[in-house]
Amino acid sequence: MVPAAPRTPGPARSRLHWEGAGLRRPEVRGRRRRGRKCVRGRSRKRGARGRAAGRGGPWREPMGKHCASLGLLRGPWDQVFAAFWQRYPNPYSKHVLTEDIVHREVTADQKLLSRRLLTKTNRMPRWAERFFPANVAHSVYILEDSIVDPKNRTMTTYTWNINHARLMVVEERCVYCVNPENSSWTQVRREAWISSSLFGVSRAIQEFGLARFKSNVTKSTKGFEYVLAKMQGEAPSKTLVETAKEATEKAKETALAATEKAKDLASKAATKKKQQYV
Amino acid sequence: MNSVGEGCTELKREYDQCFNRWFAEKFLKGENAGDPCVQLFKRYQLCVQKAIKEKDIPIEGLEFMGPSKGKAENSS
Repeated sequence: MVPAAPRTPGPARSRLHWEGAGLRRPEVRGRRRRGRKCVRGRSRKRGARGRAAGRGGPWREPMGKHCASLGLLRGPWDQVFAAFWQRYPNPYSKHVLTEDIVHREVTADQKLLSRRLLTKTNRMPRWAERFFPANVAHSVYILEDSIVDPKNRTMTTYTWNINHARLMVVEERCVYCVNPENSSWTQVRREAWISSSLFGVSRAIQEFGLARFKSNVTKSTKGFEYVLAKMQGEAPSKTLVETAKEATEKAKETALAATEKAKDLASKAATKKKQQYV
Repeated sequence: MNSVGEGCTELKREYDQCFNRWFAEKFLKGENAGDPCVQLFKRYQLCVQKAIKEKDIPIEGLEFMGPSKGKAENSS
């Protein structure tokens, strides 16, 4: 079999696509070049500790996992920002049960601050259910704060769970901005911190949390792309209808012209025939 | 999408519709001539904030763009 030619990233692909660092396809990327860097807190103790100290409290151990990735959404910034508020429900958001805005204001410097409350299902692995029977039934409450800055064309979001916090805290920070290489795309710099302060099982919890976080990132991105594609599909479909209308009009005109011409030809032919008979 | 307060979903839908239009057509374009959705937002908030209190969802006192430490420790 002929080895497949390396696929080049570029505008040739028509579909919206989430990609990892280096703007390459995940499947093209080798295992060694992983777009999402996830490191255990121990090896980055200084950074994690610095961050925890910066937040003014020992509520979280300087442990846990840190992930970073760079993604790309194939839509212009304004469309992506608009889609952000319309992303639920979508076929990939079955785990999102409710969505509410609980705070919203426009600042003096024209930034939109919002706080969104999401309720999600809390699926736990069997082994973890044994440790936290009380937590099983309760869904997870998630807050998602955001700042939309239309002047700088950026959007920053900060998302974290507000219950089950003793079990695990997942914090995620996303910065959306215009892709410097292609201004009709939007890039997302995503960072996440996963921590558990439970002695003994925290490492296992973090592993599970990381796995679920990754699968949720995929779901959320797919959902985002779905909503974006739908929004993008709406605009051209109108144009298509108009084009179709125009085409119909033109066709009618052509048909009319053709009929006239045919009539003309027929009458000419008839005259010819008549002349022949004469 | 459903609201956390069962009775608030319709109010939320009306507000969302107003907001999405304002956001795309005015706010992102830098037009800042007031928010036409204020009344809808107020009505929706009355409903949803009540539901949040009834369900004991711990959203009070949390720092914007970052969790408040004390609360994070107390919630379970």
